[in-house]
Amino acid sequence: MRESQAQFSRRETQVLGISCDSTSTLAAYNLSFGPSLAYPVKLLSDFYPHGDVTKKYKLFNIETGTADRSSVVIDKNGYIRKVNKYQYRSVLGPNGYGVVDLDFNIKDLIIFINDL
Amino acid sequence: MSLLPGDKAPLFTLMDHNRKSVSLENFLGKKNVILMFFVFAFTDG
Repeated sequence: MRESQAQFSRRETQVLGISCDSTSTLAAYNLSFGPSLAYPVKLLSDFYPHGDVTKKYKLFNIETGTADRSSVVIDKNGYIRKVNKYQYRSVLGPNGYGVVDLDFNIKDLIIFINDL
Repeated sequence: MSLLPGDKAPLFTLMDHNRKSVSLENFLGKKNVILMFFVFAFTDG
């Protein structure tokens, strides 16, 4: 069966998570999902210099010292195509903590990428 | 002031949870990239 355009776009898209956590925190977070359940997104640490990349994307909140929840779509040529600032939808994860409902939160972005 | 569509995405290299470097440049020319900025691990995102 021919894959849908959305499936194609998903395969042609890399999702990267960025937070101002240390790599150790991210390692503990990944482990919290258990040996067989890696977190579905690669998580990157913007810890030192603190929030450096987040600041370059103008998404650093100086009052909380963290990123603002937001998504950025970058095309294959390295240009920004969309910036979304919003509350993510979360679900209860297998680790007992709230986790971002990834499929739900990137659905609209994948549709957007279809049309690029 | 936010970055806007059409702006060049700032390049970066960051470490993942295994302290392995990941660069935006690795994906250019190959894949679209969605960056999801999270507040903290162990929170709702």
